[in-house]
Amino acid sequence: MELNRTQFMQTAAAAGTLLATTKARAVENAKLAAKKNPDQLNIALIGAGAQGRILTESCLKIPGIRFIAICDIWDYSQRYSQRYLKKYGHEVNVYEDYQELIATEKDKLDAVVIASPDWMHAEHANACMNAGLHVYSEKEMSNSLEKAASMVHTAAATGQLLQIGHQRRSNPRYIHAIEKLIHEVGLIGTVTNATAQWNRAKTEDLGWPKKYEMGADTLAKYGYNSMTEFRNWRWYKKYGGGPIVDLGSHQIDLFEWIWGVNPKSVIASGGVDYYPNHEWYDNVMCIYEYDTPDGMARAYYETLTTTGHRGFSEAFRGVNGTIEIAEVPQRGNSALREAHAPDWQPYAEKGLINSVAAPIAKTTTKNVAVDVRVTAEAGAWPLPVELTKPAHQPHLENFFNAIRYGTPLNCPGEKGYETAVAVLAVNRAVASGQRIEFNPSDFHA
Amino acid sequence: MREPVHSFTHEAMTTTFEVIIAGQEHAYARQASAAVFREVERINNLLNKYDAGSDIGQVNLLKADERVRVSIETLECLEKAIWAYHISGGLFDPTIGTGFHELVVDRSTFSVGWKKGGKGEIDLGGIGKGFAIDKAAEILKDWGVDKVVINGGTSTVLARGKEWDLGVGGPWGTKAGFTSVHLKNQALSGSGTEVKGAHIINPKTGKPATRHLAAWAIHPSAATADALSTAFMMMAPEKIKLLCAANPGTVAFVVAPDESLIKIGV
Ligand SMILES: NC(=O)c1ccc[n+]([C@@H]2O[C@H](COP(=O)([O-])OP(=O)(O)OC[C@H]3O[C@@H](n4cnc5c(N)ncnc54)[C@H](O)[C@@H]3O)[C@@H](O)[C@H]2O)c1
Repeated sequence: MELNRTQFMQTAAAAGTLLATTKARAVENAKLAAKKNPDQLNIALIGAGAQGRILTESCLKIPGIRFIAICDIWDYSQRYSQRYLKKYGHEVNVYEDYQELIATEKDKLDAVVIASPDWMHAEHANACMNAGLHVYSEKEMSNSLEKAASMVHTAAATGQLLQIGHQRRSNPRYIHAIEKLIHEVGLIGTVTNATAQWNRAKTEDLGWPKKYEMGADTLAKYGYNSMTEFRNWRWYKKYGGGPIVDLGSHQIDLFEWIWGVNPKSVIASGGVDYYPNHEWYDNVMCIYEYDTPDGMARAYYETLTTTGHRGFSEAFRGVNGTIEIAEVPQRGNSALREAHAPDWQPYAEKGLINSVAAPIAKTTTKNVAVDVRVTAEAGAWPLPVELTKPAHQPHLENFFNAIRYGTPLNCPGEKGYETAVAVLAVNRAVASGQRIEFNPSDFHA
Repeated sequence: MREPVHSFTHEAMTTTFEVIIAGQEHAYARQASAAVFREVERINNLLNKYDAGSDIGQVNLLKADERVRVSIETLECLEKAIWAYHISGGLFDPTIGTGFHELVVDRSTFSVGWKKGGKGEIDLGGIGKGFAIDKAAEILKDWGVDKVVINGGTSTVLARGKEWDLGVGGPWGTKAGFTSVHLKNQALSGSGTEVKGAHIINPKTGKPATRHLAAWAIHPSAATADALSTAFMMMAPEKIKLLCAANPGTVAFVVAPDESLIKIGV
């Protein structure tokens, strides 16, 4: 079987694996993109905190990825990751200063994964790209739009790849729901509305082990006002964007994917209601308007950090039905049909959805009449696609396939920027109490 | 004088984890316990068989003769499970007789999979909680928290740093006169017919384990204690004696069908 390059890339992207028969050709293509040996990409991690570790675990599951260096300003994070990687036989050089890492390692490196706090992404990513390295940067691109835009400009100027960590864009479950069922098949008809939420039970601030407390001078050197702010950076304006950016960004990003346009406006309400020592809004509710080719559509989003009710999930609501989905399938993984919609059985026969789950009788007590409501509420058609990997792995694979084979990035800097514009506006809308109108040009870096 | 003790709980692995910390200020103990719970969640994300993206979820989806890369923690946990499987003569079996002997754990490639001949279906419910407790206890070393009890629901508890006086719950313990235990740098795990009825299935017979009414294992490792308590439910007392003798630090308490308490290795 001979595949042309495009077919190969599609197959490789879809299957996420390398076909043996096309390997020779792939290696040839890869030489264009990968500087050194495409069978082994050498990477570094900047920011080895909670998310850095999750990305590390996923990278270690991808064949041909080798860590050669890590950078973190906190010795606790350094030690953890260095020890962890050593268990896998990856001996890494450890740096406190990213500039030193780049200067020393750049000739050996192909790419850098960045999971530092939001406010450092641009500085880290720009320096890496300027040194000829491809970058996977966690979302949010930045807590400042100027800095986010600078990342897009640097990627364009250097020709380096820049992938932003909105990992749902590479998740086969989301690709099936949005690209296949909504866009291609039209299962739920015109999508007129969407809702999504990410709610968390109240939590305490993060602490730190006493023996790893950073000195005031080190904190100051790297711009952190205190250990509390360093650990809980996402709550402070200098370093992060609060829950709407931290959590909301993943899901608000999907609205553009659904409708193919960026929002036209946003209204929002929120406040520092519960955690008096935080700067960012702990509870935010907002409504976006999208002027889509099929008419006006609206999306409601909430992120609450004082109640875990309804957890996290998204609902795309069309005239013929709704798709409920969540990154964790137990929280959402089905299509709900409107009673008037065309029969969905043919879609089930094609394997696009699974057959409707039979209504489960709530009770077997014999003197209870048939519960009509239960019967009507049932009728969820499960989505058939599973993600059989950790949630971030396909997005990292997409990035590495882009380096190796020229596969298109699922969330290049330009896309990440569009989402940053939409999401960061919510904080401004809350602060001003004003509706924010967007121009299409606002979304171009 | 008694030291102040702080306790915190968290829902995970379909049970309630509890951390009890002595010798620390409340705020610090709370933050340390939060780190413990984050580690439990991390381990659960690797071992949860209901998640197709977890290591174990992926291993279960493999066919015979296939492999998948897994995390080092999954390798460690499976290696412990294999040890318990062998030492118990196959009575501790995370596949409940569907093919644990077909499992391949390959450290050199960090992969797990199945031999050519077949495959099983793994459920680490009989060792995962204990394993998560062991891992979480390692995190506390960084925090300088040494006097701690980590309790994984009602079945497995690890006590570190000082002698802790712990109550043993359940009707069989009460009936047989086993109601409290002193532990230091040891874990106790219990299995029995009381919590969820007879929930341990004998992999050899496919039927509920009924040899004993209840069994407890004590071992420095919570994962080991967890696995052994399951195995002890099905092992004859003479076999348990041999096992404890061959593995110093292992203690067993078994409630026989006549409600008498058999102590081994005490
Ligand atoms: N995609 C996702 O699902 C997801 C999930 C969580 C977090 N994130 C993102 O990952 C990033 C990190 O978040 P986290 O939760 O891991 O935070 P964290 O605080 O746990 O980790 C941040 C790490 O960066 C280090 N750091 C801080 N300043 C640095 C600097 N100047 N140079 C080098 N290292 C520095 C810290 O020492 C720490 O180890 C954030 O951008 C966050 O939005 C993404």
